[in-house]
Parts: sequence; C-alpha cells; structure tokens
Amino acid sequence: MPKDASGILSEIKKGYIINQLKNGKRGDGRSPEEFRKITIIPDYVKRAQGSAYVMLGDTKIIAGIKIEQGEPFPDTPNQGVLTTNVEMLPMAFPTFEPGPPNEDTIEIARVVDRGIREAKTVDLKKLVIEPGKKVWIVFIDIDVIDFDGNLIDACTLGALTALKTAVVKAEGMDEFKLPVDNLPISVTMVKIGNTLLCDPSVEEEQMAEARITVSTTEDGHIRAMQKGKVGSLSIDEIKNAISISLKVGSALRETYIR
Amino acid sequence: MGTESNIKLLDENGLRLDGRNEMELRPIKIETNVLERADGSAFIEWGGNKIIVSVYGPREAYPKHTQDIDKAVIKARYNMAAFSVDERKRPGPDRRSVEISKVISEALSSAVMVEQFPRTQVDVFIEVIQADAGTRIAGLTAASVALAAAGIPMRDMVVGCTAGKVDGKIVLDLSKEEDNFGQADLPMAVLSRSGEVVLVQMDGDLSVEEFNHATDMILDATKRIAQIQRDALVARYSVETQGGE
Amino acid sequence: MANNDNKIVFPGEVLSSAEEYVPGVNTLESDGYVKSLAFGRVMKDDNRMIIYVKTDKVRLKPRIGDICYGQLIKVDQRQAIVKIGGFSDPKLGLVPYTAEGYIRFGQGDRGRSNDIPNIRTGDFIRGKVLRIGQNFELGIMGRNLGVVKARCSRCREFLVMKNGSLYCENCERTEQRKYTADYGDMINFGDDIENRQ
Repeated sequence: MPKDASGILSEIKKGYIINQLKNGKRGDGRSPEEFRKITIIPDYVKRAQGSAYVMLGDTKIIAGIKIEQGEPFPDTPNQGVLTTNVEMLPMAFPTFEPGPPNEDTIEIARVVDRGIREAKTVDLKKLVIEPGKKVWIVFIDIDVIDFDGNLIDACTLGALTALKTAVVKAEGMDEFKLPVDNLPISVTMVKIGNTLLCDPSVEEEQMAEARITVSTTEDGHIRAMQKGKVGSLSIDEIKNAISISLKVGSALRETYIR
Repeated sequence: MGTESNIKLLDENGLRLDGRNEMELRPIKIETNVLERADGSAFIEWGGNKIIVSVYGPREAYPKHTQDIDKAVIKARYNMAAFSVDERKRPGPDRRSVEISKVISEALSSAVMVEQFPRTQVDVFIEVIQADAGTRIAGLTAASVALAAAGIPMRDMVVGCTAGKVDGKIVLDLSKEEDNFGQADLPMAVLSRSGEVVLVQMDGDLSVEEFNHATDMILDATKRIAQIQRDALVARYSVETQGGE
Repeated sequence: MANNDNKIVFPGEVLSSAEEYVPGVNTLESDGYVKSLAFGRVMKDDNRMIIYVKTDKVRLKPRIGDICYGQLIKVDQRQAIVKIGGFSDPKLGLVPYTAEGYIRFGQGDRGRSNDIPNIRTGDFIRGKVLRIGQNFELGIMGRNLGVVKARCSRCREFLVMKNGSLYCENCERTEQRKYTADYGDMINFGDDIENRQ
C-alpha cells in the first residue's frame, strides 16, 4: 500500500533511527523513558466550567468541560453522565481532514475516557439532581490544535486538569466544585526495534510496530490499557511497560497533577 | 438582533457596560506562528474572544474536481470549540458556521494573489476557543496575519471591525451583551490600504445616516487594528531573525 | 550585488516608483509603483535594477536538481510512477511534500539483462528532480540515487546489503536493484549526498 507523505519519510528514516536507538539515543536526544517538556495552563477558557491548555513537546491540546442537566442512562438512574470527545482539528496536521471523528480519534477519546471512568475520578453518584430523571452531564471536549504524537497522554493530562478546575453551576442552584479524586495517569509507549519509548513523537509513532498505553492510579493499580498498531508485544514487554508506566506516571503525577 | 429587553446598555454618561466610550475598541492582542505544523498561524485575543487560525498551502487542491485551472481556491473553515460558548456547542459544522466560512473565504480570496497558484488550495482553519461577540471579524483579521506569516502573496492585508447600535446610539466593536440586546450589528472587513470592502453583513435596524456614521467609525478603527496586525508580524520576525543569526 | 537595507514591508506597501526598479519576486507593478505582495524584507539588486521581497518562509515549491524521496507505486515498460514523500532541504533536513513524480526509462536507466527491471513497485527511492511540470520528472542515475530501501519480491521482508548485493535473509536469495551507495546505511538525508559521490 502506498503511504502518505509522512509515512514514506518515516519508512525511509526508520533504519537510521533504529541504529541510533541501539546507542540509546532518540531523534531529539531524549532517553527512552523521558517525556518531552510539558506545560499546562489551567483555566484557559473562562467560558468553560473547567479547562486546560496542554503542550507536550510540540503537541498542543485544549480541553474544556461543560456541565449540563439531562437525563441519566436507564441502567444507571442514580449516576451522573460522563462523556469524552476529541476533535483532531485539521489545523493540527497537514493530513487531518475536517469531518466526523475517524477511528483514530474515537480510539483516543475512548482510551482517555476509560482511564478516568475506571479510576472513578469523577464521583458520578454525587451528580444526581433527581434520581432517574435529572442528573448532571459532564462533557469533556478536547481540541487538538497542533499534532506531534502521543495524543492519549496529552489529552489525559488536559482532561484531568480541566476536571480538577471544574465547577458545577446553574441558575437557582448552589455552585459546587466537581467531585474529582483518584486521578489516573496514562503513559504511552511505542516499540521500535526492541526498545520501548515513552511519549512518542509523531515520527516515532509512525515507524513503531506497536504501541501500548497503561493508565495507573496512585495506589499502583492499573485502570486502563490499550495496545495499538499492527505489531505485537511479548508478555514480558507488556509487564515492562506496566512498570515503566507506574514509575514514570507517578513522577508525572507529582509534577503536574498535584 | 436579540430580543427586546430592559437592560440598559449605556449609562447616563454614555459609557457602555464595560466602561468603554462609543469609539473604543476592546483590547486586541495578536501573536503569530503559534503552531508548529501549520505553514502560518496566528492567535488573536479580542476582548473575550480567543481564536487560533492556521494556514496550509498553497497545496494541491483536493478532491481534484475542486481544482481551478486558473487560480488557487481559498478554503476557510470557521469552527467553534464545544466549550467556546455558554451552552455546549455540538461539534461539527452548522448552518451558521458554513455561512461564516463562505464569507471569510470570499473576503480572503480578494486579497490573496490566487492567480499565481493555479490548481491549488489554501486552507485557512479558524478555531474559536472562546467566543465573545465579533468572532467572524476577529477570525478574519487573524487569518490575514496567518496568511502573511505563511509568506503567501497578497495584494493587501484584510482587516475588519464591527459597529452596531445600542440604546439608539452607534458604537464600535459590540460586546456580547450589546450583540445580544442591541438594535443593529454591522460587521465589515476591508483591504487595509485601499479601504475596499471585502466583507459586509448587517442585521437589525439602521437609518442611512446611522449606516454612514457606522462605516466611518469602522474605517477609522481598521487603521488602528491594521497597526496591531503589523506589530504582531514584526514582533515575531525580529525574534526569529535574531535567533537564526 | 543584492543590497539588503533590511526594511520590513507588508502586503500592499509601496516599495518604489516603477521608474526606479523593475518588480521582482513577491512584488507587483500598479499605478506607477512597485508594491509588495508579501510580508518580508525588501531586497534591491542595483545591477539589474530589480526590487523584490524576501519572506522568511521556506520556498513552497521544489526546484530542479533537488533531492527527493518517494515510493514507487507503479512500474511499467516505459516509466515508473513515484509517490513523493518529501524533499531534502540543506537546512531543514527532510521536509514532507506530497506530490506525484515519474521516472522515464531511457537508455541505461533500466537493467539490460533479459530486460528485468531493477526497480520495482514498492521500492523506496532517492531521486533528483529533472523537470517540473504537472508532475515531477525524477532521475535515479548516479551512485547516490536509486533504491534506498526495498522488500523481497517473494516474502516482502526488507532486503539487506550483503557482499555488495541485496539479500533476503528469510528466503536466502539475492535480488537485483539499482540501489544507492548508502543502501541500508543512510546517515544523511540531504546536503551530504553530493559530497559522498
């Protein structure tokens, strides 16, 4: 199959990059477990109930929270509703196209959602207005404005920061801070040659055989995982990925989400 | 225009809700090259508006049937983030954003030297991160800066401003409340040197005299805004040149 | 000599009268004046009396002689179609660029023995731009031009360089290609290629 422009380039560079990795060097000089520079600006969009602007290297995303009243799902009448939506805007990358979310976008949104949902980060039981009839619906919307790989981790950091700053308010009702606790940190790695690389750049993502994301909480438990791309991973590689995620993730939590 | 209401938009001294007089603009800040991937980009803060614009191209027009053998096609896409407005905006285009995209595309087409790049398209993506009245004009003003930053040949810069009528008085650069509860809204964009109009829309109720007064105010304001555009471009230019040499 | 007075100009700005200078790149003559069409710095070539505007953006179009990389998507008796992935820029390295190119087969471009083509569909190549039209005409003549990465035509494993020919470790057989001198060992993607010849 012919690839798109960046795919062709990454195929051509691949041999060179693998050789460099044998010497422990990544294209941008990072070590395998090192994240790029992270900058987070909380409360970036005043019109949203909570928000954050996240720069992960050259990847830039904006997460915003909207909280509205609506009906609960019939099977969970005593819980609020949480939805996560990611928009890979065409401004973010030359080959991104406008239109409804594609499978890549939906995968990212669902992996981010899963970590937050399974860690029970948002206490949905406290978001009931009238059981079975009226609950708070928390919309996490994330705009990707500049793409240089690792959207899952950038979006997770953005979603968490935005949730932490979110306030539930409506006319005639008491304001309260969105009940948020137990934050899951996701760490995404790709396998190139025999090395697992944290926080892959777009170039590394394109040439990788396999990708794995592990979301963990402070108690050291795994809350969500997702393996991606067509290549395979051994059980040992996955165990290794988990221990890297726990180690790197707790450092990220200390620095950025505290 | 919005519904009739009893909200007083001007106080006894003729000052507006945010303390501005009728000729005063909200604070405007423009930054260029804020994105890595785009060929050119700009970020504008205009009052409470926060808008990012990115430009790609000229690149091969796709799908092929949209190619024009004589010139480049400007494709602007105006989009609002879900969290940019008070009530969550469902993602994806609606009738309003499609119309705004069209008038912005047309306004930019009259400035860009489209005949120099046959069969190509220039994509202009306008993402409203936070909306606070006047987004189309703020987006278009930033788009012109992003095009210039991308090095795309243009005969002139495009710059715009709105005027409107609140409590019977013509004022410049409507705020959100004035937009919602005022009596007229007149967004206009011009080529900055010649003053030729490349975008005009209007809704509400204006007399001919009021319209003339409003356009005079807009033309005067665009001179000030054009200077902000130029300052933004130069600021980045000098930083980059110093870094590179 | 180009004389650079470093003045920054904007689209639509008057640069000189039409008598003083001839309009060059990014300028336009109108109403007796030369006006800028771009944001950039004014450059004056006083020997040729040309005034032009230099933007700080990299040029949008590749030029003849540039080195590009791509993948062969179709090879027939007369030509090969190349999906171009990018160009090599001396300063920026590999710059993505989507375009279509073709390699025309004349004398010498194709293997002689039994007319077996020595480039195949799917191969990644380094080419040189020979002509620019609707599509780019590319050349692969020269020690450093040709196939930089190829798959085995039987099992699709990547071929490796072994004793001066391309070898599939899986099928234990060799294949013929018009490969580059640095096949399998690319260190530099651009400006250094010429120096290595």
